[in-house]
Amino acid sequence: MISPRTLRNLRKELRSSALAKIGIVLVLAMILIAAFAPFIALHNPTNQNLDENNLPPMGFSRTTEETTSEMVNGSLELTNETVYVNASASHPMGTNSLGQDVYSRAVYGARTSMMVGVLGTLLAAVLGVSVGLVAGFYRGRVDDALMRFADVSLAFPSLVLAIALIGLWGRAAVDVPDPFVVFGLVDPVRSALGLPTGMPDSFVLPGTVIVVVGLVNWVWFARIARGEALSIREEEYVKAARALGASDARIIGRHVLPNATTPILVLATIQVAAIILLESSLSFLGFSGTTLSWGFDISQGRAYLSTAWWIATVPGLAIVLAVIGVNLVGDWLRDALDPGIEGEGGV
Amino acid sequence: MTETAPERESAGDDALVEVRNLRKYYQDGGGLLDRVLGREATSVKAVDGVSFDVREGETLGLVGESGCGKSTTGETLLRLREATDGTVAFDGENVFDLDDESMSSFRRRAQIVFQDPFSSLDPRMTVGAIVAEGMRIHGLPESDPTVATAAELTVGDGIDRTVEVSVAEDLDRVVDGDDGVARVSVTVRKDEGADDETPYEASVDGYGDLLGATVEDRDTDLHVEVTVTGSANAIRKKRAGDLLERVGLSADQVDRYPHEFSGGQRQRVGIARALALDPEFIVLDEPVSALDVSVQAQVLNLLDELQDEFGLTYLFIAHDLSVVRHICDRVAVMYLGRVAELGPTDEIFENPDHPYTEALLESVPRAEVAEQGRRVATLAGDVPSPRNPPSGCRFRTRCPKVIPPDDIEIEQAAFRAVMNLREEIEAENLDPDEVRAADPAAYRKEEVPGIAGENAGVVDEALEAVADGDFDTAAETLRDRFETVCETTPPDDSPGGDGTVVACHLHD
Amino acid sequence: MADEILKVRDLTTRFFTEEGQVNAVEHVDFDVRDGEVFGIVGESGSGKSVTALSLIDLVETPGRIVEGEVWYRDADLAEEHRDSHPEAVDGDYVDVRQLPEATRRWLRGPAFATIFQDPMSSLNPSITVGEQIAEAVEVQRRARANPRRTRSRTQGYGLGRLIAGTVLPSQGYVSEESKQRAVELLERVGIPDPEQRAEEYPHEFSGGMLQRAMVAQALAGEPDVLIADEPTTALDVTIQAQILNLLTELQEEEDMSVVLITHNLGVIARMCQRVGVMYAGEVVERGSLEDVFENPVHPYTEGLLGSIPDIEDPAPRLSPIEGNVPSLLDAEMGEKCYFADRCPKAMTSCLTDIEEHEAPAATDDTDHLVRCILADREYDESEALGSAAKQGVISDD
Repeated sequence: MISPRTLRNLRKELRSSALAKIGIVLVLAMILIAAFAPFIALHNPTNQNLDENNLPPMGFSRTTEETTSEMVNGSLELTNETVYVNASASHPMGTNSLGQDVYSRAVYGARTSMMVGVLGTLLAAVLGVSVGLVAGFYRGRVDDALMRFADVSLAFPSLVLAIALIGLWGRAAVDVPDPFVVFGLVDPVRSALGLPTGMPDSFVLPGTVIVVVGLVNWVWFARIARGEALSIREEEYVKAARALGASDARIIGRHVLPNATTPILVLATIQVAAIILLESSLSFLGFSGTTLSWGFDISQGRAYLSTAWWIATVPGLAIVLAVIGVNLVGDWLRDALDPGIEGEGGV
Repeated sequence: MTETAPERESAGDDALVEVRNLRKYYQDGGGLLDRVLGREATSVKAVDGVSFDVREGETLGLVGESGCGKSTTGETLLRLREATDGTVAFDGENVFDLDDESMSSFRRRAQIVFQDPFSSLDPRMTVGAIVAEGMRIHGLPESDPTVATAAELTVGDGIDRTVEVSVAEDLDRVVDGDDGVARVSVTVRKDEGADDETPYEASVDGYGDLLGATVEDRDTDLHVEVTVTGSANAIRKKRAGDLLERVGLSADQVDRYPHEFSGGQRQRVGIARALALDPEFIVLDEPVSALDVSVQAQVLNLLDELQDEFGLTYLFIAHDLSVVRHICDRVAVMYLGRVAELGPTDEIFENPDHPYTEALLESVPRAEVAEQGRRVATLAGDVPSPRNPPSGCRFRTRCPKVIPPDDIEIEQAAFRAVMNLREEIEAENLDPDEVRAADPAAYRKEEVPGIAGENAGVVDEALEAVADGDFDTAAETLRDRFETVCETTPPDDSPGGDGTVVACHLHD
Repeated sequence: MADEILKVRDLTTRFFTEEGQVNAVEHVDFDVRDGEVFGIVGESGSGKSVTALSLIDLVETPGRIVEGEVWYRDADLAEEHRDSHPEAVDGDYVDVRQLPEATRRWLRGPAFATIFQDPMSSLNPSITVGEQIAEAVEVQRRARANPRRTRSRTQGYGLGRLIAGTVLPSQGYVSEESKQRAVELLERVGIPDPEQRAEEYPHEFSGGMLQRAMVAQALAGEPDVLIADEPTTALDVTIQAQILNLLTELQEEEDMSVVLITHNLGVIARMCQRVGVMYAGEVVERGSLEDVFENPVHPYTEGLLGSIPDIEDPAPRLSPIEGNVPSLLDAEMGEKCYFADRCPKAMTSCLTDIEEHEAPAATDDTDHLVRCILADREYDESEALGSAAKQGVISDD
């Protein structure tokens, strides 16, 4: 499916585009961070420490008003003092209102976003491409029926639909054991680096969100796949396959699908970005079934924007970088693979 | 073979393919919205009643200009498109009635080569896979029970035991049968250097990893067994390589992609693909039209060779008459969805009977000095729309020899002009103001020169009606006097006793 | 002795692509005489289309004309530039390539006009045919009215004019006279009901009609030289006959010269008095129609003529030219005959000799020039290039 010429085009485009390089770096970083979260996080992201809550990040300080009361000459005297709170070296990006390390939460949040992004897209792609290919290949009533169904799905605002579905099914989320921790790989490395041990031994996979996301976003894939199928079915090599006696299933699987991968791939990368955002919104509203998510942290930090702004800003930045990275990778794929340069131009 | 029907004589010319009244219409505007808006469903009558035979071993040419329906005929014949009406009999069986299993076997016997070398090969597949795909679909190569298998044994020095050899039944999957027997050469040797356990080894001559030979030491004698050791995929790949060689490419190009080949080479791949199933009949749909002239010659020669070697029957669809002259035994000329003329190539080219064939031949520029400045009598106008073909003979709107009615006297050229005028009036293409301003008689002299007397009078009458905006009366007036058999009656285009067709009333 | 309207000398066009330098047109020489049809015949990859584009300066990056002169005869133009560009003027001839770009663009219309292969893609599908032709006429009219040096022809068609024209039809760019002239031109090229047809859109025309409309547009500037690049290749053979008749008619009546580019030898035979055969970017043989068709010297010409089926006399077997067209990448070419690896009469000298030689000509007033040593000497088997040497010709020297 990926021919040598495709690889060559990809490499060529990557070499010439600075933005593509940036995109790859961002996406790779996110993948690595998500994968190796237990090694990279400074603290267990769920550990609370109310003594150290709302600490500012390094280089910043926070002021609070402290009011002390004293009995002076029979009357209550209130003194307002401005107290400076300093950053702590062990929390370089500060802590939130529960004293949880903001940086570590951002690192683990990457896992949630990545999993939902990738798995959600995968589900949407599998569903959407199947429907789209069948609709585009067969046309006629099959196409009409499927596409009307898709139009109806599209008419629902995705967020509302997601919320409704989650409300219906409940926040089913699965606890997945963290292999690094379970196999005891984490503690030795952390001790050697002088980092505190005791990282969470499992993480939450928001299954419902993934399913919802898949059900909501499949239509985009269906549209693209259908368009491709419509045009590819007219190609002569499809006619040739039919002349050889190929069944429809064979033609769709062997001829239509491989030639349709380019735009589907490009769409997939764009979708990952969109799904990361969707997950953030759902977490923000508290619907994702996990609290270890960028969106959730933003919602928690919303109340403190004027005072402890870092609580919402750090995860917010993380989302921005993730989405930009994925979009740039999508641009790279699109520019490199499209239009396909078939044959040599005549001189 | 059953005895031939009385109408069809000719010694031993069996028709492999019989097409009768084939029709292919494309519906347009039959959708929901159109019905709501009250619009009539029109259809494009791409093929509108075509009949011909393709005889075994011959090359039948199907020529015509764009829109005549030749490509559609080729594809519908193979059931790559669903016919609207008519029958196609292949080796006696109606292709349109075949069930799935019979269809599958039909596909192996009847293949097609397409026109465009750039889009007829899947760009994501290697050429080896493209050529082998047909084999894969049909589970080939499979063993033919009528082919026996045998081995020629060579016994090496130092072996004093009797050697017996047995060959697997399915050897013919790898080895082609020669006169009903698939033969290989096997050699048994005694290897001194090897350990005493297995001092004997056997090997097959050629065929690489596809065939293997084992030696079994049975105290009294040695038993050699030759089996097929290659996977089905490996066998197919080898066959694909062989086919590529046969069409003039190299077997080691099997893993290359189509874009690495030139147009002519890709077309060869397309031919190899068609041959892979060992068909009897191949539809060649403009196989050389997209190629350069020098490459064209190479491919035509190749097709010729292959026809001789494999005993193939060709239906050669083309628009280039020089190519058709060169390669075809008989030719059918199509116009607007029907056959205008059909006959032996030399006959058609040297003595064309149908006016359209004449015009077609007249238009082709010859590559010789005598062609310089040759004034070609061209056909007027364009091909009519296949949505609304002319009644009777479809060529009548452009035919320089359209037949005037018996009861009037008029010159051929003048009658053509009258017919042109009739068409304009029936299509309401004239401007009544213009006619009035010019004065009908003067207008007539301008547009329809060369008529006089009663003829002129009737035309003037009609033009007066036009000047009043009454096209219906005008058309009626003209039709009364100038109605030709060419518009009332479609000419007979069913193949005659000798298989020829001249669909023209001049030759009734 | 006919006078030449166009003299092309040493024209060389190269494409500088990522894969390397492609030598599309190499040192091409030919003349076009007053009122004649000069044919350029070649297969794909021969460079004939790029030659056409080079003549009218339509070669776009990564391509560039690197060398050569295109001498066009125009006494007035010569007079104008004699002092400012002395090296570009020779008698009544002006080397178009050395003129300023504005002047070159100005020449498109009155000097050179072009028609291309596919009329459907040469016309804007959203504007009526009449309007497009009228626009061409208008542009020519305005250019004539203004001194060439100070204005480019599109002067006056800015955004303001566009908006004004859309809102108030009378303020449009195209004048009534031009519209009238457009209808006249449509009639001239044989389109029936020209007033009605002028109001129609390109998709309502058939292929043949559209090509006629293209010719009409080309005639708008009353060109001296009409360059037709495969004008009938996409058309049916009966329509082709109509168009060729039209071109012959126009050429005779307007005393126009035509450069006809095609791969179809039959079309060449019908239309052209003199012919140039191109292969791998070079003109390998040129002369009168008789010379080239009846006494070809270059083995490629012979091969070409031998590989086409004759409609009147079917040969039992065609003699194709073996092998494939060579790569035009500079790195893979060299100073030798590019046809040597496929030539049945290649000799050792062919690896070094690439000059144009004179061959016997059928008439006195036309030269027969061939880029092949066989013009001077007979084929000598003893000096034949072996297949190994021919392989060496294909790869690097």
